[in-house]
Amino acid sequence: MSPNSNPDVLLHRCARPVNVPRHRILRTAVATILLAAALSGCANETLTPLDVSGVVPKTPADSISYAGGVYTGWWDKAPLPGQPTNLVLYSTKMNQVVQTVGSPTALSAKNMEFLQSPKWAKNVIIVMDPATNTIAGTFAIDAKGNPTNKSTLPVKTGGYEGWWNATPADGNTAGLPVETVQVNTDTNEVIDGYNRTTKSTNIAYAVVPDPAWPRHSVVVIDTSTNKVIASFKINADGT
Amino acid sequence: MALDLAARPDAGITAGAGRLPLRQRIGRAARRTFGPESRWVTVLAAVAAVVYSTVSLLRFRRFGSAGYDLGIFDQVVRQYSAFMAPYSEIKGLDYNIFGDHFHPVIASLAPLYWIWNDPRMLGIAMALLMAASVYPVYLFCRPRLGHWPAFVIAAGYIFWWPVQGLVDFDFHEIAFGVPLLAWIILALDRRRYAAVTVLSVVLLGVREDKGFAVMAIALVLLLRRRWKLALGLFLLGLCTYLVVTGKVIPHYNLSGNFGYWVYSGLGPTMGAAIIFIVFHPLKTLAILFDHDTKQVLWASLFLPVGLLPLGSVYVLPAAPILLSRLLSDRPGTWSTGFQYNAVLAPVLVMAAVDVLFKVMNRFPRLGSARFWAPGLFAATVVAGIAFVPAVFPLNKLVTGEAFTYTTHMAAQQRIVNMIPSGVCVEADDRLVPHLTNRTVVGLIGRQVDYASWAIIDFDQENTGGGGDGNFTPFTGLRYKQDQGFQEVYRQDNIVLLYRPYSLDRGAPEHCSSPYLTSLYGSGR
Repeated sequence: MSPNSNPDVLLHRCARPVNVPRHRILRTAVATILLAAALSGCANETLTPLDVSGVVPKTPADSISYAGGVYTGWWDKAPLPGQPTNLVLYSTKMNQVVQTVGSPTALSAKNMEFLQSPKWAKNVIIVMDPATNTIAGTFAIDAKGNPTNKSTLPVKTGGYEGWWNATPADGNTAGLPVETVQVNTDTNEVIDGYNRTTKSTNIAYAVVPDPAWPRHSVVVIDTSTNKVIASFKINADGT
Repeated sequence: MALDLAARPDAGITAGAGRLPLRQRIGRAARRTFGPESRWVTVLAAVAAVVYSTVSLLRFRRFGSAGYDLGIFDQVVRQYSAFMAPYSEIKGLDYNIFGDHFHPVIASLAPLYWIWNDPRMLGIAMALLMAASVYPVYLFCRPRLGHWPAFVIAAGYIFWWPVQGLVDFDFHEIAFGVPLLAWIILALDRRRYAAVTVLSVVLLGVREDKGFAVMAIALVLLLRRRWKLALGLFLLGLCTYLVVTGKVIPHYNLSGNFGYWVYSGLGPTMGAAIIFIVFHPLKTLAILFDHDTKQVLWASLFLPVGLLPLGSVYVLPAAPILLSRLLSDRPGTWSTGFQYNAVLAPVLVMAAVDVLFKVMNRFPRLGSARFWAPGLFAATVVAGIAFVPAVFPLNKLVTGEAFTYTTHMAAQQRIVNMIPSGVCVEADDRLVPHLTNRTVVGLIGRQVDYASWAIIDFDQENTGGGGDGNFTPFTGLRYKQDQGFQEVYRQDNIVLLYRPYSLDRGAPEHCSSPYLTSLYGSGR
């Protein structure tokens, strides 16, 4: 094998240092990254804030109107992708469909089970897609049928059980709070309490709402320190 | 010049170094590492940095990046850059990121934000971190295979699918783990135990589970009979994991616990898991292969390197990382997608080369493998980039797809630009990173109840972020409208919603972190 055909010799020749200064390589790399940054849109982000000065606050009920026995709302606008278009508006007060949108399928037993669930308040319109048995919207109505901002769910109060008001199987309560209250952060009301010593659940406690509390939640407060020792999210129906 | 295959791979590298003063030894090591011989490696690292920076920047421009995780890390690093606690509004109001994972190492990126306060900086940083891992891989391979085969291995490694997968995931703390583990294995190989120790300590700051990797490094030292150091590192890794997951993370976590112990097959605690593994090794083994996705992952990681890593002691640091994923209940961690595999890449490649070298020594007739084996590995990478875009996202760069800019992307940019700075926003996950540097932004319906603006993209299947709190665009829109939001602009199925600020909704300071407040005002 001649030296010229020996792969190690060839490789060694190829591997000889190239005469390019290292700082030039690095400078080129940095310049290329900056060029890529410029080319990929870093420079084309001129802010054009939308003028919303004329927008007035609206409640959900404001976006639904009722006239001549017909409800007009988002379902009458051009549908967005994924928006159901064949709907029924079901009144829990009258226990019947009061309006249809598009060509909804006939209500099945499964639909009716959902619509007549006790989870709904008494004066509510439920907008349902019967084909998928999904609720697309709900709104409360007054006695005349006009939309209101009242809750569509029966108000449920009551406490929750957790480590803060439970007693371990071995009976050792060392380190556990003596007295706690549970506060709904949406209403800032005490919904339950417990005192281990008196076994009382009726705790007088003045709630000082804290903006740091998470919304749609219950916070458990140790009344001896006024500190939140636990919190958890809840649904509108309290579950 | 033929390589002396019988020689120890690090022979001639450490000889005589001990007699020189420390300063000269460092200078000599640096010249050797970054000297003229490895100039081509510097070129390779520079190319990788440029390519991956480009990929990252283009992903951002094309709204391919997401709030989970780029937006989260961006918010955290921005907080660090302002010398503030690492809060992320995307994770939740007042959510200290240490309640999620322990990765203080990313604080080292804060100075980058003094140069450019933008999430894209993280993509560039990640590209540089990946590029930094090329050197140890090359330096590990060079004494075993020679310059060009080592160079080919390094090139194949830096463009291997696990590394591409990480870059295609925007940013993740694991990016620090890739070069760190590569340098640790090189240091182990060269018996630089002080470097092993220092780098292992830094590795512990990458993520809480790296405590297990450090324990595995200690096992390597144990096999070399470095008893004291092995014991010390093992205890350090174990204690760090226990303290971080038992005390630090629960301290900051809003639920008071560590949320990533999800090993229902093994038991509710680490102790129960160890007992299960010890007494049911076959059942444990079965869990590692009990799903198609897991089998694909095994094949994708080990077949391209010819199963060789399984014969090397250097594969040990990868073991806890891989096994902890495959034993967990989270299917997302079993896949070839996301960022999870990048940290395995240098370990597997270096372990494979270690075994290849030993095989060539044992069977001299296989000496030619030092040419064709690297070539074969690199060829699989090239073929992958050409034909398997799902696992090799560089395909999009090669085909030009990464450079396309659709009307929908233009609409996304236009609507993002309509949001004023300093306000509180809820947005589709893909839009979140475009708002983090000038607004307080979270995902739709998750945390920011005080938001005045919301953006919902109806071309997406959901509002993003994963988990139970996800909305479809339609249900997200209904949810926001029920909260009083009104549509103020719509373009290309993207809806911009606005709700005038109302004092009774709560504390405005939650809508504006102190850092943003100082920059943009109160956020009202």
